[in-house]
Amino acid sequence: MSRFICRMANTVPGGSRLTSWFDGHRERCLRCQADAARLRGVSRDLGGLEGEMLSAPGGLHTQVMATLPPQDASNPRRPLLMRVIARWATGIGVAVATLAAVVGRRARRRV
Amino acid sequence: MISRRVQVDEQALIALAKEGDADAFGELVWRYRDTVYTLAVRLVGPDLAADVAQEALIRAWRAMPRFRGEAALGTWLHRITVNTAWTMRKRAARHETQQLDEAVFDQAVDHATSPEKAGEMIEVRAGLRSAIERLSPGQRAVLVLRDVYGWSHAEVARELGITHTTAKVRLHRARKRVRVLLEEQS
Repeated sequence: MSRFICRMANTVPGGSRLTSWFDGHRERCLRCQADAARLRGVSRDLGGLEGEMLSAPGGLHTQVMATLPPQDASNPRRPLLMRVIARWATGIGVAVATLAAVVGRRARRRV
Repeated sequence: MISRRVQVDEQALIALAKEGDADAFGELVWRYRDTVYTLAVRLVGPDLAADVAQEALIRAWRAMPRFRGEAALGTWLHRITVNTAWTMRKRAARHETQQLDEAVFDQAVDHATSPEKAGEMIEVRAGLRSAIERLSPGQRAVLVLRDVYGWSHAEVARELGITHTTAKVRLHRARKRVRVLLEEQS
């Protein structure tokens, strides 16, 4: 049973109201504490990668400078929600246009 | 003193770039190309990283007049790179199974490492990179931004367009998966 609770506790991140019971378990359980320590070790090792720097391809600078468009002060971080809305709007537009074309053709045939 | 001069130089370059001076922006690109490229490699792998870095730097140029200097230029460029990588992730998904080219990382330079620990760290890092490669794009992005670059959960959630809770859950799962993969390797 205890092992099952440990598994449950380890499938959810801590810190939220919903998981407060598991947080209490994690504070008491040695197995969970050992598990958390291993995860912290992974996290610490990953932090060491920050100092690692790769060299950009030689042509990157030239390519960027050769393709600079005019500045337009556009939002460089396109909101993801807007992209979803744009995609849906495009889809609906295409569907409406197709429907209009079909209806128009049928109407012409009847005439 | 030198650092302050570089900082002042950078502010001058930013001011010129905001006014449309391409040469000043070119100097900034030269200074930040490696950091932007490194982040791109970590997010999408080496095949697509050059495209992501190029697109991110072009977006930065277009948006330079909007840059208000509230964050450091490097931070701003990182955010643009993350957004670019994330919006290009469908293309990235096609490369999901690619193996990161070890040669790309062999040239990695770490100025903070002492020679004694270099061998051990190379091994640890190779294991970590291999494990990161095998994560899903969503888990990889959250793990890299939070654990490698030290972003807050709120920043990660905002830049990836996900909720705070989703970011935390993905991070938790990603760390667990990396740990399992590292244990398998050893």
